[in-house]
Amino acid sequence: MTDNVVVTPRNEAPPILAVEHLTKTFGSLVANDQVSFSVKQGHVHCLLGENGAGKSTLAKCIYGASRPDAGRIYFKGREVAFSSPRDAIRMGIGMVHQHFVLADPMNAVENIIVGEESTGALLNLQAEKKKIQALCEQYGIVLDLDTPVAQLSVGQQQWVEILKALYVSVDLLLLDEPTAVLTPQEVQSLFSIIGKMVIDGISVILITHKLHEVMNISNEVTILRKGKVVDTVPTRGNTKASLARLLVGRDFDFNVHKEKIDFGPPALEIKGLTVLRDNGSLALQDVSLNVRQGEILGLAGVSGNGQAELFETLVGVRKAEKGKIRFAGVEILKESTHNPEAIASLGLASVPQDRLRQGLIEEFTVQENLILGLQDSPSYSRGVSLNWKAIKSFASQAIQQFEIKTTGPLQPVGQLSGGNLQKVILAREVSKPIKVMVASSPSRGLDIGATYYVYSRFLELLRNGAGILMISEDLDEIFNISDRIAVIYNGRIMGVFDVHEVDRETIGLYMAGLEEHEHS
Amino acid sequence: MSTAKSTRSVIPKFHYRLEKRKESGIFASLLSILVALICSFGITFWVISLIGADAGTVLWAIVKGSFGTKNAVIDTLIKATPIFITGLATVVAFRAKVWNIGQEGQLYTGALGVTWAVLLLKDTGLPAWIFVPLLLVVSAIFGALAGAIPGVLKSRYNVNEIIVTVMLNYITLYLTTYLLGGIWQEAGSHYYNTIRFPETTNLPLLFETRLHSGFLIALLLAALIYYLLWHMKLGYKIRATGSNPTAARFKGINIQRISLIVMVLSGAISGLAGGIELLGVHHRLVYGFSVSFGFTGILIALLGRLHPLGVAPAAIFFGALHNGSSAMIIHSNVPRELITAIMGFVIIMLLVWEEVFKYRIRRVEDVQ
Ligand SMILES: Nc1ncnc2c1ncn2[C@@H]1O[C@H](COP(=O)(O)OP(=O)(O)O)[C@@H](O)[C@H]1O
Ligand SMILES: [Mg+2]
Repeated sequence: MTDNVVVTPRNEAPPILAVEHLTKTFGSLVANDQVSFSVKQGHVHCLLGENGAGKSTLAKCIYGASRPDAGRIYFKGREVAFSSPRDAIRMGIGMVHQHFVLADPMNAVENIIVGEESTGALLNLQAEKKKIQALCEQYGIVLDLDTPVAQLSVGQQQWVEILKALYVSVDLLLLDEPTAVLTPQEVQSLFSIIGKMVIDGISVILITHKLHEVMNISNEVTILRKGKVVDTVPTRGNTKASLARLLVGRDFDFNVHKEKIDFGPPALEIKGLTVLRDNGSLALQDVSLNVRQGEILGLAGVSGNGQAELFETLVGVRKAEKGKIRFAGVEILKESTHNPEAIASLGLASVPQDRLRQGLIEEFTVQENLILGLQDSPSYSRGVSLNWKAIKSFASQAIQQFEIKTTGPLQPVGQLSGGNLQKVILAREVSKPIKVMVASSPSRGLDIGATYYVYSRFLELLRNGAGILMISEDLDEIFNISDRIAVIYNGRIMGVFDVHEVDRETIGLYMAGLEEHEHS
Repeated sequence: MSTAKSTRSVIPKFHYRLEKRKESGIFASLLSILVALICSFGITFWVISLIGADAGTVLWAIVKGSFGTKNAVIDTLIKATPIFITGLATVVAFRAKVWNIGQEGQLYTGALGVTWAVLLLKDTGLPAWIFVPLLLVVSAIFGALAGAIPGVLKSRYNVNEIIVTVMLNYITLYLTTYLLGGIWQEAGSHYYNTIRFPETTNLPLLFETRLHSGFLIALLLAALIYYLLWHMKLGYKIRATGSNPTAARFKGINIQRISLIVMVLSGAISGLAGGIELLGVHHRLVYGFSVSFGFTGILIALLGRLHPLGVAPAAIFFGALHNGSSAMIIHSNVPRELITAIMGFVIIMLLVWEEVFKYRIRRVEDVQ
């Protein structure tokens, strides 16, 4: 990693931001409960907390995107109460949101200028572009300013968002889980950009749930748990373990205890698979992969490199151009079997990337979602009718077994948290005998407890002889539980490695398409 | 206001989630309907006063004309029957987010089928207990065929069903006019109508009144559709397709097949509405027998929030407006079109207040 960025003397620096007793509720849910903390001028201050701890909510309150119910915010020594992000930006606060998407056809320059309402008059595009180029050089940002932002990689879109803030010269920048979608190399670039910003006197609030990032870059860290501040501590003098204890409130074992399982014959064989995107471009080129019984094959890659199309082809909603997929003794790309119903009945379970869009029906109740795709099975129906009694008892059992936090089988699933949504999907997918599980970002958005719960379920599947293809862009996750790692880039498999014979940096390079990674 | 707005523009997911989170769904929904009705009557009052009539008298005439006497109530129910059924037809389609706008045409197709069958079989001496059910089945089949056209085009070739159904509405209407002006016209008649159907085609009457059993059929149908949507596998798939077609497809529901089935079902129900109207009220095919029953059915379905239990009162409400309008023109110089205007106000107000209520809930969550 880059050298640490500590430049200002820690204690003498005046706070640029102070939050006092900030409370924010959504209905009966208290997202921020009497939160107080302060950020010193020129510091990198981490907000560390599990998913749902209230980090984003807190950041949005500071940024004026959300109005706190109670509490005070002081910025540069003055009390502020922004009614919109525009006010915050005017005062010198910028923010890069979690899961932002730049889907417009404008290029970076236009995007950066239009994003800010600095002047009402027409701007001189060339002059502004020069200014932005200068910023790029100053901070070491590598970015093609003429490409429509929608075509940039997620990492590059992040630079656009950061440039927006630098362009209006903010004094405080909030970054909400910026590394979640970056390759290790991009994370390094980000950290070096942050380092340069700090030298220029910009203060940074970095939101994350990753301990090693906190250790790497921050001066101080405020730990949030269930909406409350647990503590604010200097980074120096703490360890990952001591932070973890603050984070989850108890000692936590981060190791996945895998027993040795002898891998069986391939449960899923993909040979020479070529698949097109909706727009006709190549999504997958000549992809070959094997998932053996009892193993987890982790497919690493920055999202958008063909993983979604691979998932869709495997579950049967996307046609393949060429290639073979052999599963459960059947060539499933045949016309007669290549549909979700047939493939699922052969024993394929799937956990999609976008749970609420692809895996669940938001308005449906928990019990209705638990039988999605299984509604025709004799266990849950009688003739043309659904057997609600059987469904309800199955649902109650699943809720109990998977510890789904819900008011009951009749609660609309849209009201559940991310971790519980994932549990609903898992409970459904493993409720029938399965041979292969295809899971896309299975722990995304889950807290540590839920993540390890999901992993333990995976291990159970392995013990029962299933194979797992785990698609993920989170290298922590990939390295945590995979037996082998395949890397996908630009629709091609760049290599397959035994997890013990490869390190993160190497995988990162492959994920970025080796040395070409700046202009993908 | 600006907070909510800017929040939305920064992270679109934000306001979406808030919307879904509201827990007082049914209560807010009912309240918004109530407020909408009050508002539209307020506007109506105002419009009537503009015309120079006494608003109180006019509205009272409407109420009395629609619920004042036993006969008035029965007339209201008769008027409610066809739009009740086309409303149900709409519910089935819209629940799957298949936008069938062709209820009017499908209703006409059903009526054409019935007329054709009557003219074909009128001399066979079929007893009523066979003839009537047979004709109702014929109307449903004809309606189903009319629904199958946009259904197949949509599910096979992804042709927009709205365009097809709207075009079919025109085509069916012209076909009806053509037949009524030609081979089906009653000999010697100056109007566009067929001969009177034989007595054996009459729908049985209820309680020895003019109320025909079509209303009962509508009620039964509402119960059936409720059962279909919430207790049958098919209904589950229909709702899944409508709520989230992507997830439905990923989990093996054939959404093309569902949209075809739903179109056929919706068409069959609309066709049945046409059959019932002919056999229960007109006893012949006559030009203009449908006073926009198909379109009114769509409004009713929306007013009833796409629920059979909501469609029933909505249909009776619109039936009452229709019925009351006759009394209104007798007792005042207000034109009949006022009723159409009221319906328009009601719909606009409903849509407005539905949004406003969502917005309210969002604000409450945000500021507390
Ligand atoms: N707009 C909202 N409406 C209702 N609940 C929300 C909203 N935003 C966040 N929450 C809830 O507030 C809690 C904190 O969320 P968030 O601040 O996003 O957590 P974090 O960023 O730490 O993962 C969660 O339980 C979340 O479900
Ligand atoms: Mg967050």
